[in-house]
Amino acid sequence: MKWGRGVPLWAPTRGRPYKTAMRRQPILILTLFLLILIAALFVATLLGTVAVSLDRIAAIVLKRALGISLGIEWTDAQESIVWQLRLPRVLGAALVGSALASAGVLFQGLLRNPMADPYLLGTSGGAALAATLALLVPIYFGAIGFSLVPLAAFLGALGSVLIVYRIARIGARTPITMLLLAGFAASSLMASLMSFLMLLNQNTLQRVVLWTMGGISAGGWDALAIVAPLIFIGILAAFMQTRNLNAFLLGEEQAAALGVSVERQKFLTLVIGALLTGAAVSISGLVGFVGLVIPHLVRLITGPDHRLLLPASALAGAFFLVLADLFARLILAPNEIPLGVVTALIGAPFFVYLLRSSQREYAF
Amino acid sequence: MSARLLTAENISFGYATDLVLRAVTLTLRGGDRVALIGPNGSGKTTLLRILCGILAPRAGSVAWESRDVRAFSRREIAQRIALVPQEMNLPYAFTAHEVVALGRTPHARALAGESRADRDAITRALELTEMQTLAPRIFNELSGGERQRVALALALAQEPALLLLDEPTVHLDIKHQIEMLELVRALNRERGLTVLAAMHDLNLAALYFDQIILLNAGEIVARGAPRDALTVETIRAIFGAAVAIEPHPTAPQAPHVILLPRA
Repeated sequence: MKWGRGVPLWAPTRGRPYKTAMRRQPILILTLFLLILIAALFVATLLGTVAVSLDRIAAIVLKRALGISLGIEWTDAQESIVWQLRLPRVLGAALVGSALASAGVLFQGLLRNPMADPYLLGTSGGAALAATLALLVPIYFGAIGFSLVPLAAFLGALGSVLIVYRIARIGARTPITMLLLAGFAASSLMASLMSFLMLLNQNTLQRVVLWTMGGISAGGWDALAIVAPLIFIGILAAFMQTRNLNAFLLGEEQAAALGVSVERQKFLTLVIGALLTGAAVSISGLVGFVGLVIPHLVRLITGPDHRLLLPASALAGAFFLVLADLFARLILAPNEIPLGVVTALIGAPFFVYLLRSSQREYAF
Repeated sequence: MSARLLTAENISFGYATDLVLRAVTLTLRGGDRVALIGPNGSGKTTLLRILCGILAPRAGSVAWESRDVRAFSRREIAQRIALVPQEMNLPYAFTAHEVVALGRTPHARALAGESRADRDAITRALELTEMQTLAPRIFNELSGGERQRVALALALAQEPALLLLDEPTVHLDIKHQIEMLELVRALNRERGLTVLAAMHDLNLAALYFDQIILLNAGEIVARGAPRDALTVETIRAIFGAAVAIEPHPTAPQAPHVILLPRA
């Protein structure tokens, strides 16, 4: 493009890039996070109320996953503990953690609000209400009962975000403030409906309460086979939004001036976030704090650039929840404490400490 | 005369029922350096937003090089037109460098990293705005003037053909006002970057711009060289303020506006 005095407007240049460009080291950080996660997966598979030695675990996993035989003997009970119970649960915790942390990153970026978490726009209320309904169904319809809960939770989470989005929409626009207020209204409404249902059906009360406190379900490989692809696709889709999310942090107007189709981007981000949250809660119930704390924690290490923040949070969220679930299983073994209780017990004090010691990262 | 870059025809716009802009028609040609002047609420910011396509006019049309902007994607417009807003703030702690890098958004592919062209454009933007010491600092901790410089660098990293500025000197002290406008003028003179800036300070507008557009109550009332547009009569008519106009001591083409107190 040439104008006026014949000088090409933005002719290619070659300058030495500024050093500050390399402030963060994405490859180093992601590799480190991945290694830590893998270590946590190992430890969590190794530990449990029934001791199974490391070589036996390795042998069982290799045999079942790849068909390789190591010539080590094990019992059927050991095989079923490692392969049917522990491994799906550990991987489930990892998936749930990465999905919630990624959704947290999406919502905190889209809403430009550090208080945002995956449950802010009614997902938790919708999932809980739908799950409660599903828990009530067996009373009336008997047999098909229990496997309805995950599906209901998933649809409830997704549906409530769509409803909130629809309520918040004014003409062609969906202002962020309206989204937050509509999310709050919808959450309150669904919470009260749920309380009402629980009062009417006191015999399901305990199951509902337990569900809302979170815990990786014993759905085994069948559940993972459905949820894992959803979560992987969701995280990949989320990663594709990261550049636009960065622009979003400048405000909607400036994002538009930088070429982002603001309303489309908003809807897309909400749907991806709701999908991830729905997939997670369908096998875990309402695990709190991961989606809020992990993005903040990771931001302290990676900086706020979503292109690094998102994948790093996905890995860190997985790591955190694998460990939290391990605590939940072990601390009062053979009894379990709800996973949501553990995440909040570890998460909340640590979070407060971090916020107070790193106020600089926020515009306080 | 150089080619038409941006043409707005009969633009009307209203936020609620009242019209903020009434049948505004204006053309920017390649290499123009124009100041947009008018009282508070005259529609300057709204006009800039419409010209860069982030607001759609209620009536009328905007064309880029004779092609309707509605035929462009948002991204394609952002590759051609950059807007420097009055104020910019971020909820998280980005460095100034990272903020400038956001200027590459319209040029980047979703999954690709930073290309060579991206890095070069960012480096040039940082160098043009002399941000060597600013680049590693946290954006939220910068002064208003420094943020304004980062906002300009962000727009330059976009490599636009047309630069829209919304009161670029409003938060700056006089030294930084002059630096900012001299940089904008140099980009216009040396590279042919087309500039349209909403300005409050009549004297700065007269000094640093070739042409002035006077906007009042959503209508363009005059356009011309500073000396023709800024007269005692037009200023009284538009701003309701009494002024005297003297020639500038060192820049004879620029009228110098002196405010006369009422009593």
